[in-house]
Amino acid sequence: MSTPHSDQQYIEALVQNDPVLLNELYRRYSGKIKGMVLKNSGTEQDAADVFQEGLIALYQKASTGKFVLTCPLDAFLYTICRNKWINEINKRKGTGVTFTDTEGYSIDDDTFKSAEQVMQHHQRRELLEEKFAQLGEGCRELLELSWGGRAMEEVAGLLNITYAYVRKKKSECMGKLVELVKGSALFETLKW
Amino acid sequence: MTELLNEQMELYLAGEMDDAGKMAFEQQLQTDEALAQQFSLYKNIQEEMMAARQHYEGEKKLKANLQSLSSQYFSGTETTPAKVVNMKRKWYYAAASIAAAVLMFIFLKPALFPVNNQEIYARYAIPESLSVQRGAVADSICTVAAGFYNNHQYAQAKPQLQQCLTAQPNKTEVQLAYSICLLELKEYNTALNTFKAISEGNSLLKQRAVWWMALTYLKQDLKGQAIEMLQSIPADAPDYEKAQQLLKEIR
Repeated sequence: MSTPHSDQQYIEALVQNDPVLLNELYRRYSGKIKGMVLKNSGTEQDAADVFQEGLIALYQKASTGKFVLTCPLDAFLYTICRNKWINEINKRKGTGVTFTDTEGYSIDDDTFKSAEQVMQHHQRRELLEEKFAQLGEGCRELLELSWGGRAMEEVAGLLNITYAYVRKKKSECMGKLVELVKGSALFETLKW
Repeated sequence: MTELLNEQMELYLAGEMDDAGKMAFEQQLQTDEALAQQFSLYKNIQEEMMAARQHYEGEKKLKANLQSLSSQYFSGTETTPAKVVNMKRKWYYAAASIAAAVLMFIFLKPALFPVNNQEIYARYAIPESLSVQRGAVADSICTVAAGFYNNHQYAQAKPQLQQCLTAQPNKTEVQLAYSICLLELKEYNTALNTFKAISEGNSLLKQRAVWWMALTYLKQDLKGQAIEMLQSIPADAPDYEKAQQLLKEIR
């Protein structure tokens, strides 16, 4: 396992929702994100949203317990936020705009790979939620109950239907979700 | 074939395959690359969605905190949730409400010398508990509603359930409880309409609404229509057995 960078403390702060360190995180890192967004046709609100969403993406990855920061946080967080902002501009304008400002950060391979890992994870989540929302109401109900940490026996009891029926139905619903995900244009670009 | 495969994957992941089945499945995974890929995708998707739900509360609290920091460090920011990257979390509210509450239903009782339709109705139409669990937005109203409803105080439950539904219109189990209230308060036509709306949706409770429509007809001595409803309940519906039992009694 890779050795964590000392900035790993900020990742822990996100997971633990530590107000003191989070404040420090904003104080130290939000300025450059603001500069990047404002320089590239965004507003302060856009910058605040991009910064927050970058941190949430990081939280989502870190809360799975499968993430160790091996590079400094500044360049890494900047890379995530820049990518988010480029995507957002392109969504708004329908164009393929890109920019390569680094605000003086040197973005090495390790930083880029770590950032990519977080971004891919976030995009997978978004895709899964999007496809999940397309399932029928019955499937959504059943999967929510089962993912909410309930044993299938309990789900069957709650719905007062047989265990065998619940299990069969759940596998059908999961099958549908998997197919929807596989059918998405994004599927191939995301590592599963 | 795919259905069978999905069921096998589900069984395997739930740790419910017997030893022989497990060995055979694992062997198949080793030799069949396409199966292995499908299995890994199935497993990853499931794990990812479970993790998302496990950390939902944490994510919500973190967002609230970040939001207030944003207003300190970025000028002119709103206190409303971030809008640039819409997280599409609407369904979470549905999730909380689904995880919340489901109706328990009728136990079969031995068919003992039915006297008339009202007697049969009373034996089958036992409104079961509506349970409201924590996490939903409008929980306090819904908890009060469930209290009256579970106590069979339908006149008091009705307006509360209505309010609960205003806050959370998609809660099928509450819609069903509300419809049962109407039925018990003898507002048959309205009850039939609301049961019908549920039965035309895609909820897991759709067939149960048909079952209650049958009971609504039975209560009004409209045996023919009750029979028609009971016959329309398909064999794979959870209430099929019960429906068949009732059919036998009233035919």
